Amino acid sequence: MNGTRHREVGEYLRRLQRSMADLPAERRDEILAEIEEHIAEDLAERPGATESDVRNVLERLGDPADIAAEARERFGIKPTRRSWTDPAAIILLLIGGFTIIGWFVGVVLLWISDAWTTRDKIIGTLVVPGGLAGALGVALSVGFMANTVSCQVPGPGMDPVGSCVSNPSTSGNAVGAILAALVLIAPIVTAIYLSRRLRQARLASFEEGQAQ
Amino acid sequence: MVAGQDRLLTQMRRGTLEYCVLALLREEERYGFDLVKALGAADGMVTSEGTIYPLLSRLRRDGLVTTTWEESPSGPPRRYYRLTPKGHKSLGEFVQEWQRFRDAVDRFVEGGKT
Repeated sequence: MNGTRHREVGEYLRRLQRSMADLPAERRDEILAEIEEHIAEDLAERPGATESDVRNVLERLGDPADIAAEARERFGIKPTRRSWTDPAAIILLLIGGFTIIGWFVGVVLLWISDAWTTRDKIIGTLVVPGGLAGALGVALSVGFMANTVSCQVPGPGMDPVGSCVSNPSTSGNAVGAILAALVLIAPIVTAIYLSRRLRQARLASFEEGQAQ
Repeated sequence: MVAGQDRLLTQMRRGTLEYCVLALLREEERYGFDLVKALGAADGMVTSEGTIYPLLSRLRRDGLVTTTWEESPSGPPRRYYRLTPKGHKSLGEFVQEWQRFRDAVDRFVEGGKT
């Protein structure tokens, strides 16, 4: 197409595409194609268009962000201005605990979001407090307890005493390992769950817009 | 301009633009660029030309217009917009309401003149 030979046109179209990233692909592609055609038509009417002609064409089209905002409004899609906080909440809940404060920030972002139900938020907060870091702490202490049960008594080179004899060490270790694994997996499962719920919520708000 | 008036005018323009597009298609089919030029020719109707395209996309999805590709005398084929029966109906209903509304507002804002 004629118009795309100009560097500025390419940049403009890329910016427009980025601005409309949150629109359904079909709509985005349609609007992009139409605007690309518009530019080509406009430039075709000006043989030997100069840089300033091109700039003029793009200026009259308007800021890509405005076109994207118009598209969002026409299709009833909520602006995604704050939406980065939703993925951030999931990530912070999962791994923010390693910096301690990070997990609390994640909890705040989780609760101020309107993408999740209260039930989701409770799950996100309680499974597992501290996220992976919290789970790791729990898993380590479970493992540690299993260990102390099994190795309660050993003095160097001494006879083992009653508590250690009846094989609680291996079964304790096995149960401990399973518990530890479950606790470690839990925050990952929660993160996946929250991501899926987030996607559903976004889809729902889009369909709501469609129904209007 | 009084605060808020600017916003009101923007809203009025946005709300009626849809029907201006449908009205432009009442007699003949047009391609996007042609539509934009026609709307741009009316003072104060369109501030940035690119914002027409999301509207056209919406009208198409709502089944008020359809598009067909047609050869152009110069350059690549063009996507022509045409009113559907549903589009005609929607436009007809709006025109009636609009005339009533416009007359009512005129009666007050033009005061004794009429």
